[in-house]
Amino acid sequence: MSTSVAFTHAAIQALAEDYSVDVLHIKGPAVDDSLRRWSEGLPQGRRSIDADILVRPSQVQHLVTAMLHHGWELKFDFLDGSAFTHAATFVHEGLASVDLHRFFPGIGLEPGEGFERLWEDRRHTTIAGYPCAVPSISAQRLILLLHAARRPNAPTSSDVVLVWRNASVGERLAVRSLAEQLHAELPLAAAIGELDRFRGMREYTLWRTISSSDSSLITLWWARVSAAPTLRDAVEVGWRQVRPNRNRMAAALGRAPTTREILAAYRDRTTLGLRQSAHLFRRGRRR
Amino acid sequence: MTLYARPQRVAFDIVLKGSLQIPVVFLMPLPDGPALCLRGVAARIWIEAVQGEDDVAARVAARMGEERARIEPEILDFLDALVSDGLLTIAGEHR
Repeated sequence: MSTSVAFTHAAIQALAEDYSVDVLHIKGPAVDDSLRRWSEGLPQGRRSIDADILVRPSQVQHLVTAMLHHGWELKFDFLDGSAFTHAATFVHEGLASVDLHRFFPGIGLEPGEGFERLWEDRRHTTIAGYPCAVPSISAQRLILLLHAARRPNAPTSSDVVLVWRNASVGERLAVRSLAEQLHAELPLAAAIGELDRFRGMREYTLWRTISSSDSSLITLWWARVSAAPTLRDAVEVGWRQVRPNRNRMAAALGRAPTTREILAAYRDRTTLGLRQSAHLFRRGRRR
Repeated sequence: MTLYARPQRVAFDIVLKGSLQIPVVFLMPLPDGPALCLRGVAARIWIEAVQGEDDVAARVAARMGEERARIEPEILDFLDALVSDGLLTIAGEHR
């Protein structure tokens, strides 16, 4: 376990207590030993390099204000992160970065209700000698599976083998029951290879695309657009996926991108999208 | 004899380094830090203190193969410094 990641979890827990904010520590050192022991032997690249924190949605702004007051800086806003726009990244000198989650992708219940359901069954684990609030073991198992569902070849991934394939019948039932309560059955199915049970549902294509190894930019774009619940959401999601992210570009360049660089990024993304569309079209005709 | 404890709001990590498994102690006052590192005898003194050892000087001297009387003043000074920096707290006195 990285000392700086552990210290970061402890620091955020202490800060949350000082400002009466409810947080749950997820992934990395917050995961129960029974689910983590195996992953400790993984290569360095698979170990946590940041601290993942789920905050009660109604208190996000309160915690962000506290963090900024205590030396944390916003690196990526919620809209700059993943396409789910679920997490913002904060950095602090001498500590690991924090991914602050306002909800967890895959949990379909309204974010406040979803957090409350996880909060009800919370427990405490000691990280860097400090007691930190974490979800129940079943919820930890589900969160790891929902996270795995967002990676290619999810059903055969090592995390799924560890937390699902090696789980007892009772442990699996508990995870399925919790997934039902959190409206997370479909993403869970994507992780454990049962997605076909949900064929025809609005989010089926999105999770099939995300969890498979065959996900071109264009199919992912279309999957996200078609999974949006309203037309307005679809337009917003579609546009955000195409638009180059200025903050991400600035982080990569080490400075603000120039207009020329932004236009070039638009051109590159459009060219890539057209190439992939042509490839998909040709493949479709061969079938 | 003074009994010491780790303050509740000090995060810690003890890492064993090298084939000799020499302890290095990382500490951080919560929530703002800064994090710092104790090595060698400093690490040993902190570990013995938070383990509730009632005679830290005797334990450290024994581990170092030193005469207690010779190193005790420095150890007590260091313990005082740790307390004043908030990295140790006094848990009580032991007669």
